[in-house]
Amino acid sequence: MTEKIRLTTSDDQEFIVERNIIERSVLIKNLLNDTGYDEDSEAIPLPNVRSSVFKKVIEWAEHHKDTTFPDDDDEDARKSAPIDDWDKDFLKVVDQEMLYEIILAANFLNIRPLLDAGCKTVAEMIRGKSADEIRRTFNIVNDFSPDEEEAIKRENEWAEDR
Amino acid sequence: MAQLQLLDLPTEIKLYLFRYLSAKDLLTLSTVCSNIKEILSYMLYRNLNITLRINKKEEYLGPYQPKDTGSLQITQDFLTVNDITSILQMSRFIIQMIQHPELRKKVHKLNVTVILYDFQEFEKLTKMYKDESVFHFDHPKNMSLQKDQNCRLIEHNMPVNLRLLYNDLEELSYMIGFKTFNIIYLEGTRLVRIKHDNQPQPGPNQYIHTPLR
Repeated sequence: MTEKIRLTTSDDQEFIVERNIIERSVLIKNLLNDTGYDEDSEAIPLPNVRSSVFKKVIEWAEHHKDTTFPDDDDEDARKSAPIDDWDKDFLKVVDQEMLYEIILAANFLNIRPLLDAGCKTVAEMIRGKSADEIRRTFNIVNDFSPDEEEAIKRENEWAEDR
Repeated sequence: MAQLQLLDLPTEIKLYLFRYLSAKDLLTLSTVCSNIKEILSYMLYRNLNITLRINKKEEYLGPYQPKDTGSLQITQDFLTVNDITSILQMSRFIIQMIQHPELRKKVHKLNVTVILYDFQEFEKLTKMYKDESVFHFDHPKNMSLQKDQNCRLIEHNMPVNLRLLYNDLEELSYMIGFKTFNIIYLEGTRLVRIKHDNQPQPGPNQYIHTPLR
């Protein structure tokens, strides 16, 4: 029988997840290995992850339970790999706040493929856009004074093609 | 509770995701707001600062974190000349270093931060410049490369005066007889390398550099 792991999110929701699924998280995997978790052990607290976010993380981990990802150390392969189609759809439907929370959770739980997918998704939202479009997309206020803007223009001027 | 936004992400996450952007997008991004500009400046500044190994005694140009150099990793990731150029051009630090208009033109052509030679050439170069006290190269110590063992990194104590590097690079490569040389720089803790080809043409000036775009 597959071992089940109990985890508690920051809003005190308890989750019971199959070990092979939650072990997509290197943090949890190491913790389980180091502490000799058994069914009598207390639930593992996840103080940085809300239940709604954790559900998404689990959904992702369940989908990818048999996926082989590039090695965490293989920076090049990870960087150049396109976003998996399923991941693209999975992350497309969440709002920006949830996307950032998933990124933060993936970072906290040390789930590198999910962190990469999230970051690539945000990068896609930035790619090719003008500064104004980026501000609109991410609700960012232009806090440069006119003088600063002028200075930035000058600073970047010599990067322009001539 | 206010909605979590891009700017609320921790700096390390922002830096992590910015790695997926091209230099052109990063340049645009740096004009969006002060927070992002600061992060990008920090990222580029720090990388270049480490790459160039600025000697604190000579001129203080910002934070220097020797611990960061401990995790250098060689990759075979070749960036385009445009990428390198844009990244260099984004750096206020470089702009400050290269004040002379003629040098700016050269930099625009050369896109050089650090040069990688094979070991034999490194010795020649070291000797040449030790004599003239132009560059202050130390021996590469244990900085052997993981994937390219016959190369050594000229990174330790890189010249404080970057202008000299740019100024002399063309001539230097010609004197040593290099048809090509490698250009490397740090991206985070990754060492990135591009290959630079000198394209000889008839006449005394043997060097033509491909226009950037």
